[in-house]
Amino acid sequence: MRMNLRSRGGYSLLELLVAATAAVLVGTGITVGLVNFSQRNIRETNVDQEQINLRRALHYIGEDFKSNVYVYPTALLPNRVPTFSDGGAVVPVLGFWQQNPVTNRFEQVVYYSMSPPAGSSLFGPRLVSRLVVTFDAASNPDADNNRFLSSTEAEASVPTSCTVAAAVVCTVSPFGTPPASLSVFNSQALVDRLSTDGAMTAAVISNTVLLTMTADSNDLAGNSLLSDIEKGQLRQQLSTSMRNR
Amino acid sequence: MMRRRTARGVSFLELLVTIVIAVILTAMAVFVLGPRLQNQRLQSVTDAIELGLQKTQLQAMRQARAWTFALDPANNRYTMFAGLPAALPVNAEWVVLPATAQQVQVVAAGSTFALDNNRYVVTFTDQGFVSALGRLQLLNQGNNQLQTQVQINQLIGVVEKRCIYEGNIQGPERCV
Repeated sequence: MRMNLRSRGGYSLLELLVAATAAVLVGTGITVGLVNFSQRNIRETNVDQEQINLRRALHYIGEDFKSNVYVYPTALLPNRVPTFSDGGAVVPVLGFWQQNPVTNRFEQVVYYSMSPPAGSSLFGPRLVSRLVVTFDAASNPDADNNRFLSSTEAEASVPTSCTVAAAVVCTVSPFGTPPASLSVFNSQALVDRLSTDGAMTAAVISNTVLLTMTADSNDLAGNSLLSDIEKGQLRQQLSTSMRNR
Repeated sequence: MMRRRTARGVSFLELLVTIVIAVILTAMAVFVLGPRLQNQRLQSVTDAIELGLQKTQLQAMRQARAWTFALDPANNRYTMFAGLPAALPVNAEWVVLPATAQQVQVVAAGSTFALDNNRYVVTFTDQGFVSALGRLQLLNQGNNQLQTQVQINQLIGVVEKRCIYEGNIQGPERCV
């Protein structure tokens, strides 16, 4: 009996409805807040990660660049390095010669700014890739054999008419030797998720190279997820010196 | 008193409605959660390998020397050690993956990391960079539609995971 009485003295439907509505409103508020917070958190983590990636990529090029023996002036680049065909809008940004410490042969190293090749696992919208062209002993670009590359030697030693896709294809060799004398490693992506607006630039000024990289973060539809302030945080520079003789 | 209370039970219609609602809710839950549960084992193996690679890279950068990650798919385990793949210690400590090789398989055709004595190896330089890019592909043996990849597709050595559902490749944020 007592139980019955107590259960009869419960809440009315109206009271329940009011309580439920209030609970839904408060719950919605909390959920929206949490979702916003976590989205913001994800964005900040992404921006942090992009900044780290940019620094590491610039550091990679800086280390690679230490062994340069000749750096191409920017204006000369497009006609002096292999042409790429396995990606969209491939632009050579930085090209230099180095000497392989093991084989003592000269190698041409080129950094390209490009869009992700079809079917690749890269996001883009732009990325930087690295290509190394090794020349065999018969096609040594060091014509006078003084173990240094002069600008004349370096600029004359060009794998002209080469197209690099899955493998290098050269119709003309600058050394009068067959294209087989070139051993080309496939290009490899250095860093992904760069901006369409100046993914990487290299300004060659007297004996210094100023590298600038800009990252971006896109959704699957290709729209940028970043605000202008965040975009500003994702531009980094590195200055390094060259040893042209 | 007891009789009265039992007499005030639910009607058959009420019971029917309750059961129907419960069945619909259960069916929805199975529909939504089923693939996720199936996928969980695959994801935990993928996460373990991703974490192993990231730890190896961190170790290389901390100690400023090359470190190698080695996955032994036959014995379902991985290890990490200082030096190149040849430097694998005899008494290496192995980490066992959270699923057997019969449950989650490493797909050789889709895996492009270097092989050394039937072990997939990745060496990070003292700066945490890699000299060769590649990936591992993992397959849920129970369900051919579900596959994952752990990949390093940039020379700076970023370790990423991807999921493949029925041939569609999804970024890390889309993995269940």
